[in-house]
Amino acid sequence: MSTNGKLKLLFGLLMGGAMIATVACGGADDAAPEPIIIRETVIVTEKGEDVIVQETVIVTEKGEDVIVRETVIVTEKGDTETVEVVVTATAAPVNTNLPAPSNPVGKILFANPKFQFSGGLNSQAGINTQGVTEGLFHISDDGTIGLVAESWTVATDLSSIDVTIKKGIQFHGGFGELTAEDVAWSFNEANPSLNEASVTDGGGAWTSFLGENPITATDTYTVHMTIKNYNPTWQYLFFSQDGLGASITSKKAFDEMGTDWMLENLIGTGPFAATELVAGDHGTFRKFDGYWDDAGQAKIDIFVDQRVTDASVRLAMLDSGQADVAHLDLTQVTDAKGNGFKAVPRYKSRQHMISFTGNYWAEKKGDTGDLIDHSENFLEDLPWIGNPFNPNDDNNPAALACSGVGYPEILEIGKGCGDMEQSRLVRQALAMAIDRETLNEALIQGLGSPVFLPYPGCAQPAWDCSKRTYSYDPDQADKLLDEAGYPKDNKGMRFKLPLTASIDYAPVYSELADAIGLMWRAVGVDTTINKVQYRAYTRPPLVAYNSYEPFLTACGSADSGTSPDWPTWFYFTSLSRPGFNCGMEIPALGVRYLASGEEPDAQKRIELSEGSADYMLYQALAIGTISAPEVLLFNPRSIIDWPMPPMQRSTWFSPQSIIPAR
Amino acid sequence: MRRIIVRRLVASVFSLLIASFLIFALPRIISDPLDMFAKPDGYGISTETREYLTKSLGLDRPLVVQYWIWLRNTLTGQLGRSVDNNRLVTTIIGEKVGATVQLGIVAWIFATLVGVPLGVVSAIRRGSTVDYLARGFALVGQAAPAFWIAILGILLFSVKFGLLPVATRGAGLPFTEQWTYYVLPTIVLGWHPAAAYTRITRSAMLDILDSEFVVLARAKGVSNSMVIWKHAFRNALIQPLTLSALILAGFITGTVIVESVFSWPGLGRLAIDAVFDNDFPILTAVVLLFMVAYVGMNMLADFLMVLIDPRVRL
Repeated sequence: MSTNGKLKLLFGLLMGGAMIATVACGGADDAAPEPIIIRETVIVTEKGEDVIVQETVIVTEKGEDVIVRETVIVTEKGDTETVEVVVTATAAPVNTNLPAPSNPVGKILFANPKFQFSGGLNSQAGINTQGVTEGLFHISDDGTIGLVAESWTVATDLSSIDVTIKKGIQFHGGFGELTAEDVAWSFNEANPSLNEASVTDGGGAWTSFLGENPITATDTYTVHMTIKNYNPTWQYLFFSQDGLGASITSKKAFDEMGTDWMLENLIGTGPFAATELVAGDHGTFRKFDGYWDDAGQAKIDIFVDQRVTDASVRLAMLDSGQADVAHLDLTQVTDAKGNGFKAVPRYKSRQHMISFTGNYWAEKKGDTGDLIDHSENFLEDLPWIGNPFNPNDDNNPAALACSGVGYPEILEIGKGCGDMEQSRLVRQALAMAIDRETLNEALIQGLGSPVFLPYPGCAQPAWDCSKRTYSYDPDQADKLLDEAGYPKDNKGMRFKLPLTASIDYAPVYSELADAIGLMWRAVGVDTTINKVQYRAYTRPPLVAYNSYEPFLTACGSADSGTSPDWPTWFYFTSLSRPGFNCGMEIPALGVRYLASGEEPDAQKRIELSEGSADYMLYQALAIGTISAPEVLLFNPRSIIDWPMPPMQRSTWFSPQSIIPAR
Repeated sequence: MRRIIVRRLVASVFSLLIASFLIFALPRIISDPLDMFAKPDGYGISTETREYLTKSLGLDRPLVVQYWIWLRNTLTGQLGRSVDNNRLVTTIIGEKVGATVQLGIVAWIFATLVGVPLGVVSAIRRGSTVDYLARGFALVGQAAPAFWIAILGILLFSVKFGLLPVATRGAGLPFTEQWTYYVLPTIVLGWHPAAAYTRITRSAMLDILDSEFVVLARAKGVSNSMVIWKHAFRNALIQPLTLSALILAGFITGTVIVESVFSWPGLGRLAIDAVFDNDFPILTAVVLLFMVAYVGMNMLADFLMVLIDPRVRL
C-alpha cells in the first residue's frame, strides 16, 4: 500500500470512529457543537507492525468518554504519518436546573462539613486525603499495590519487613528527592514508643505493631522494619493512603525549618501541593507539576477543601454553583439527585451501633497479663451490664441462678448465669425491639440498610451480613425482659435506661436516638436520650474505662470498608488500654484479635472473625442499627466524575481522581 | 474625672482576674484534658505518651499553680498550644482575629450608617409612613433570629437570584470579588444593632425635640435643619454613642451564629470548635480575648459618657 493509500485508510478509519462518537453523544441540541480536533502521529518502526490509533474524546456535557480506536496494519518501515480528524461531539441536552459553576475553569471547591488540617508531624487523621502526602501503599480494586513503595518482602517468620521505595520522587517546595531516611523518620515520628510527643491517631496500634523497634534505612531507597506483633493489615493500616494518621513528610524540611514551621506547613510528594492551610476553615491545594507518576497526575489545577458546617448552607452552595461538590446530609440527597446533581460513585457507609458500655469483663490485660483494676466498674447493678466477677446479685430470677460456673467459663456462649445471663437477656431484648427497616426508610430515605453487628463491613464480598441478624420481634423482646426479671410496673415500665447520642458525630444520631428510644419504651424500657457532644461528654469516661451508659455511634471505625480477614474488635478488648475504647473489655475478642494478627492465612482470619461475630451476636454487646452512606454530590457541569479508589477510613479522598467537565 | 477613670480601671482589672480564673479552671474540672489525645477514630495513646503529656502540659500540678503559671505566661504572650493539633494558640488566634474584626467593623459601620439616620428621620417624621417603616425595620431586626435572616438571605439572594455568594470569606480572591462575600454576613450581623440604634436614636430625638430649648430655638426663628442637626441631634447622640462601643464589642465577641452559618473563619467559630473539642488552651485564650474586648469597650463607653455628658462627672 502506498503512503497516500495508508493515509486515506487511516483518515477513513478515524472518521468512522468520529461518526460513532457523534452518534453516541445523542441527538440534536440547540447549542452549537464544539468541534474536537484529534491529531495523531503514527511512526512505523517495524515492517508489518500493527499501529493502534487511539484517542479519548471526553464529551463534557453528557459526561461520557468516547474512545476512537482502530488498528492499522502498515507494511513499510520508517513511514511517519500525521492524520487530523475533526470530531463533532453533539452534547446531550443540558439540565437547566443545574447552576453554572462560579469557580474558574480548573478549580474545584468542595463544601465539606469538616476540614482536616493536615499540617503537623503525623498527628492528624486523614493526612493523606487531599493528595498532598503519600503513603507507601495504595489500595486499588485489585488489592494492595505499591505507591511510593517499589517492592517489599515480609520475612517468612513474620518478624521483619523490608520495603524498597521508588527512585526520583520529589518533595514539594524543592526539598529534594524522597529517600528511605525520610520514610523511616516520618513513621518513627508517628510511633509513640519512639517519640513520646506523637499524638497520631494510631498510637496504640503503632506500639503494638513495632513497639520500640525503629524503622531503619538500610540504603538510600530501602527501609527495614523489625516487627513486634505482626498485623496482616500492616500495609493498609500503617502505610497506606487511607490508613491511620501518619504519612511521609520531608526530614530535610524538618531539619531546616523546625517544628513550628512543620506544624503550619505540609511537605509531601503527592499530586497536590498545599498552598494555603487555615485550620478549621479551608485548604487550597494546587496541582504539583513535578509529580512523579504521570498516570496519577491531577486533572484539575486547584482543589479547595472548604469547611461548611451547616448542611443547608452546603446544599445552597451546590445549588448556587459556588461549590462544585458537597458532602450532603442524607435527607437532602434524593431531592438533590432529582435536581440533576450526581453522587460520587464510591462511598463509605458507617455502621451505626449501640455499645452497651460498662461490660468490662477482662480480669487481666490481654497482652501483658497485668491485673486490671475494676474499682470504678460495676458500682451499680445496671440491667444491661453483666458482672462476671460477682454474677449472683439480689435481683436475678431463680431460673438464672449459677451452679458451679465461675470466671472465666461464665463468659462462654451458653454458660452465662446470674447477673451475666440476666443482662444478656436484656441486651438481646433491646436488640430485638429495634425495627431497623423502619429506621432506614423513615430517617435516611432508604439510602442505607439494616445492620446487626459493627464488624466486618456488610459491603465486603467475603462476608454475608444476613447470616447474623436480630429479628424485629417486640413480643419476644417483652418475653425476654420478663425472663430477665424486670416485670412492668403500673406505668408499663420495667427500668430506666439512659441512651447517649453523640450528635456531633453524625447528624442522623439525633433522630435515630429518638426513634430507638420510642421503640424501647414500647417494650417497657424507660429510655431517656442524652444528646451530647462526643469529645466533651462521651469520650472522657470511655478513655477512663468507667463508662456505663449505652451510647450510639460507629465506635471504632465500624464501616463498610472493614474486611472480614482483618483483626477487628480491638476497641472492645483490654488491648486498647490505656487509650480509647468502646466501653467494654471482652476477653474472647482479644484472644481472636491477637490470633488473627499472627495468622498469615486469610481464610483462617475470616474464621476468627466469624467466631468473634458469633460471640458478639450472642452477647448483644454492640448491636447494629442502620448502615448509613456518606454521600458526596457534584455538579455535572463542573465534574464529569470522581472515581475514587477504594477507601477504608476516610469519607472521601484522592481529589486527583476528579475528572473536570470544563 | 481622674478618680472615675482610676476606679473604672481597677474594677476592670479585678473583673478580668476573677473571670480569667473561672475560664481557666472550668474546662480542666469538667474532664481530663488528656482525653483529647485519644482520638475517636484512633487506637488510643500509650502510657508513656500520657505521662509525657501530663508533664509537658503541667497537668500534674495543683490547679492554682497551673493558673499562676498560665497567668504569667499569658501576660508575656505565651498562650500555649492547641491540644488538638499542637499548634501555637497565638498563631491560631492570629489567623482568625482578622476575619472577625473585619466583619465586626464593617457590620458596625453598616449598623451605624443605617440605624442612626433612620432613627432621626423616624423621629422628625413621627407618625408618617417613613416612621412606621423605620419602626417595622427595627421590630424585625430585633425580633427575627440572625440564623433565620441568614438562611432566608442565602435562599433569596444567592440561590434564587444568584446575586451574592452563599458563604465563606472568599479567601484568595481579588478585592473586586471578595467584597461580595461580606454583604450578606454584614447585613445579618448588622441588622439587629441597626434596629437598636434606630429605636434608641428615635427615642432620644423625640425627647429632645419636645424639650424647651428646642421650642425656644424654633421660637427664635432658627431654621428646621439647624434645630434638628445642631441642637437636637447633637444632644440625642449621647446614648447611641455609648451604645456603639458596646455594639462593637458585641460584634467581636458575639458573631458565633453568623460565622457558623456563613462559614466565616473567625473567633466565634473557633470558640465553638474549642468548646466541642474541649481544646482548653484555645477556649481559655479566646474567652480571655472576648473578656478583654468587652471590658475594654465597656470602659471606653464609660469614658465617652464622662466626656460627652458633664452631668456624669458631678
